Amino acid sequence: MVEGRGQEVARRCLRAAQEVEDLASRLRRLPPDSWVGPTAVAAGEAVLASSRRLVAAADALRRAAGDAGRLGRP
Amino acid sequence: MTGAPGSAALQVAGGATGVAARLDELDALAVALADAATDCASLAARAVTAAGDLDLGPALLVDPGAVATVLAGAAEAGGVLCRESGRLASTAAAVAATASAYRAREAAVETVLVGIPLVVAWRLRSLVGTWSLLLPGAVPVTVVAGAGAVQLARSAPAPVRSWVVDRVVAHPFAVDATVRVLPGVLGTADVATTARLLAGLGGATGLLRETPVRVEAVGGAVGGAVGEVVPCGEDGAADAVPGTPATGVAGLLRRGQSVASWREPAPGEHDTLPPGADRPERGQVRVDRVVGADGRVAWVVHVPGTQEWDGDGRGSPMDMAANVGLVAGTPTGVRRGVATAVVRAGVRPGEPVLLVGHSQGGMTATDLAADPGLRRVADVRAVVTAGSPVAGRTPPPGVTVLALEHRDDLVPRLDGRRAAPDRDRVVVVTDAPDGPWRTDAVPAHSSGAYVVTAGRVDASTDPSLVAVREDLAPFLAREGATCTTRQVVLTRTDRR
Repeated sequence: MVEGRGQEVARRCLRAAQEVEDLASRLRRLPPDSWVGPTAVAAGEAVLASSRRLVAAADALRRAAGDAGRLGRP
Repeated sequence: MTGAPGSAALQVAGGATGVAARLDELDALAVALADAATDCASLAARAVTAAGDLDLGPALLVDPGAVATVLAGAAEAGGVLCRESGRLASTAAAVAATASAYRAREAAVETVLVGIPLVVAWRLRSLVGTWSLLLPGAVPVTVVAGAGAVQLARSAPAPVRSWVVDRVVAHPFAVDATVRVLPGVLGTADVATTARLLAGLGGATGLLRETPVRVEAVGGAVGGAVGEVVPCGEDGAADAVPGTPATGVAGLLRRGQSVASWREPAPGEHDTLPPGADRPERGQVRVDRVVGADGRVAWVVHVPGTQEWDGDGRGSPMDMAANVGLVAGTPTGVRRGVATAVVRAGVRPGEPVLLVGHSQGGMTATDLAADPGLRRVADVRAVVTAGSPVAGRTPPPGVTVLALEHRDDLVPRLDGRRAAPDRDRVVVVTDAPDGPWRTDAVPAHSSGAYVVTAGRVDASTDPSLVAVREDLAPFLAREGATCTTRQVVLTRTDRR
């Protein structure tokens, strides 16, 4: 029973991680690479930094998924 | 942006370092960021509750350490996502506010630049309307009167001409305003439509005649039916003369100053010559074949600017009829003639071609880069223009464009549009340097002034310009590279 619940949590965490990575990827594509100028550069850098932090969050979710998947296993 | 000490900075836009953001892109980014913030908040909630299905009682009994790790990981991810949601929302708000501020500033500038001339235009338009009630064909009369005014201005005493030119040169934005106002006065939609109207009316009145162009090799006319574009140098090499490739962008423009010469003039050489000496003969086009040490072949085509201020179809095809036709976007004899010269020079598929032009030559060069007929047989890779109104011309993607403009040069403003830099098109705007050309009618438009500016481009460390120079390298002087030159003369045949 614990193993089954762990697997379900792992699946949810993995799904959430995937969606977070998709969002990060979406953000990476937002600023056109042709932009220059203080405002555009600042906005572009902020968006890319957010994207990187989201990737870190997705990694945390994947680690949690791994831990959840091992629950109840010998 | 880069600039040499003690000189006006080169304002570089486009190319490797990109372009400024457009307002509609800022608007789209603000919306996308707001959406992302919402999605991020939703994911934060899901991350925190992902472990909700975990049956804590049995799981804690089985493996309390693992449960703690799972909950900590989900909480960590949820916290990051929550904070990022807030950051994205505030970035979205900042971007939206910036777009609004830019928009307000542009509106203020537009009001100043366009508002007053529009009032004047409205009054002029009323006047034209009154004429049309009294006299059928008022617009042709207006055109003829305008042409007469031009002739009058040209025949006016030198002090009068000088006074007028000084006033115009001192207020280059007046050219923008005039170009914007003209369509309103004539009741047309835009500058190109106005030019087409003028071309039509000019043709009807005989003032502007776009006649067929003959292409002949320098030093030996090639026969053919009058009234058609005639090929030259069928053997592809008979009139080729050995020389050296141009040195840098400055060398390219300097060579274009003197297409009659078989060599690249020394820096400043033209400044010491009497007026008119060693200048391009009317209608001359120079085609250089550059061969690298590795045997690779590249071609450079030098297209001269306006040489004929009449447009009656009897002199050089680089005339006023071509100017109007180029702005109107209609095929011109000079464009067909240069395309023929390129093909007949012996360009083979896959060999890169660079088109270089000052003033009208830059317009022709830019149009040729997109000419389907030429592109079928020639691989146009790059265009260099100096003082040319090319803002509204868009070569195909992948064609490198370097456009040089002096702030106080009136000519680049004549198409009524602002330069539009992008990844392939680098626009360099700077103040015109001082020099012997200061006595020219419009000093900032002098090809000599653009040679000096091109020298600064050659020395610039701006990443966009460095990238452009790399693109131009196959066409320029380098270790082991050789060059042969072919020249042709384009002449109007005066047959309709």
